[in-house]
Amino acid sequence: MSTANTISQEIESLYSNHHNWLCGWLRKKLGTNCDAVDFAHDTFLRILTSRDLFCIREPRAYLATVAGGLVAHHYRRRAIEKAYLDALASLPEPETPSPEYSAILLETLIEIDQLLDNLPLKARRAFLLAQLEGLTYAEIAQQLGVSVSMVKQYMLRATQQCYFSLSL
Amino acid sequence: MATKNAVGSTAMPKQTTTFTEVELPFNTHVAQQASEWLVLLISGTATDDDRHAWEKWRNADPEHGRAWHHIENINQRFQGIPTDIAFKTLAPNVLQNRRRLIKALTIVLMASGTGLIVRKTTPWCEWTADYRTSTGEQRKLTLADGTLVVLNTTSAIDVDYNDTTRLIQLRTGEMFITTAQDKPATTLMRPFVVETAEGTVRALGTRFVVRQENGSSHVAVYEGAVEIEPFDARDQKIVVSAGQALNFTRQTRDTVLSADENAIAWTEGMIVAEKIRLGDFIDSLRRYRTGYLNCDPAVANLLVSGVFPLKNTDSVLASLTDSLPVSIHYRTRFWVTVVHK
Repeated sequence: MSTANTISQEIESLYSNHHNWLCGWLRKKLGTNCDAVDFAHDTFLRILTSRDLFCIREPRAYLATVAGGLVAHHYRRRAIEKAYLDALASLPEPETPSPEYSAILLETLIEIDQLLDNLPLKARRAFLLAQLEGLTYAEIAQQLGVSVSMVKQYMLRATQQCYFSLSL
Repeated sequence: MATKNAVGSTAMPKQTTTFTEVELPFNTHVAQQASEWLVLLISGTATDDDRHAWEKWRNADPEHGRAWHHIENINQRFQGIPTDIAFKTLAPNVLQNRRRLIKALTIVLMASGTGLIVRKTTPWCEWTADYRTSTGEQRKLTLADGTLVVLNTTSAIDVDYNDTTRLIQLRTGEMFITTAQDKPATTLMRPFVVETAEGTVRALGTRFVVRQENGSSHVAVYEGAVEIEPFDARDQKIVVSAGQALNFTRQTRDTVLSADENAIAWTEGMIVAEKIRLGDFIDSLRRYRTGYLNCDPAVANLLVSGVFPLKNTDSVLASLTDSLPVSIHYRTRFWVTVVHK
């Protein structure tokens, strides 16, 4: 249905008709011009690689959704970075990881954060306690102050979300 | 680089940048089943029957196998992440509470542990005690002067504090010590001494590890310094300072090595591997579980990296199969070999 040719045509028309509008929309949202141009660029890049093009009916709503997602992702990333740096700062010096390892670790944490996107905090905690600490569900139940069957529900929900993006 | 499936698509399986470009979505029913199996298998209460049933399920349909492979791929993300940092970053507050709980527990622990004998000989701080840990157990203790001791798996110590010395005898196993400044009731500061089968280790205000091995002792210093004196070679007395480690016997001592920070991860209930041979890794892991655990020489030279919780060594073994071409062969729960896949 959508050949490479029509895709590039669609991108072209999307870009020429709506790029300025998107920059304006982002500028209003972010308050700075420079970031707005960057985000607009990333938005088109994202669309170019996503191949969802042939079903775009409301181009501006679509662009706004993609761009809004990128902006939200950016802020979330910054929040994680900050929490991560705070966590590092609270470590005693000999335990501080090397800068290289530290960067890898941060990327991994951001990936995991995305995988656990939208999970309630307790489900998140239950899942991390099981995966990182290897705690049994009884131990997790005790720590979170909930029943074991609740922990199982959290785990199921977290697992479906994290591995298969199924939300209950 | 961006993740896929930005808008209005059936976004499964969830992909992040480093995963393969094209992965077909899973049937919702298969995804649910796979999730249910995972939740059962990591519950800590899965039985051998459960595992057999799961294997049967996994082999019943190629789609099941593919879903499971997908889970294992994502699981690799979770390897090697320090729990402490992960919680502070991704789910604040839980771990700090836990730490507080552990702290509160260590105070209570002294009175309730197994094999614990406290014999008060004077109302002051002069007393003798035995502390021990079972296989796979770590225990934190606070001694009368505030010195912190963490006992590793299968370890035993005698504590003998008197007017002139603070003496700890390491009878077997390994301990990590953070000494406290002695607050003498009268005049002199009492020296803090650890005795092994081979000699004495005298602390000079410090954090260090002493491990009793077969016919030798191992000391690693992380802060301050210690003075080591082998029993039958007093002239070999040597000061080992922060960042250094040393093995010694009754008669001789080895050359000074550097102390490995990863080697004390057990005090936090973890084992840390940075590109170490699988054979050596299994040797370390063996200390934390009962029964037979061995590694086929054919895979012993593979390299392992990661941070693993010691709490459940079965899940540590299972996680090896994610990143290495090995499988874990359980003849029984207590007879386990790591073999080539």
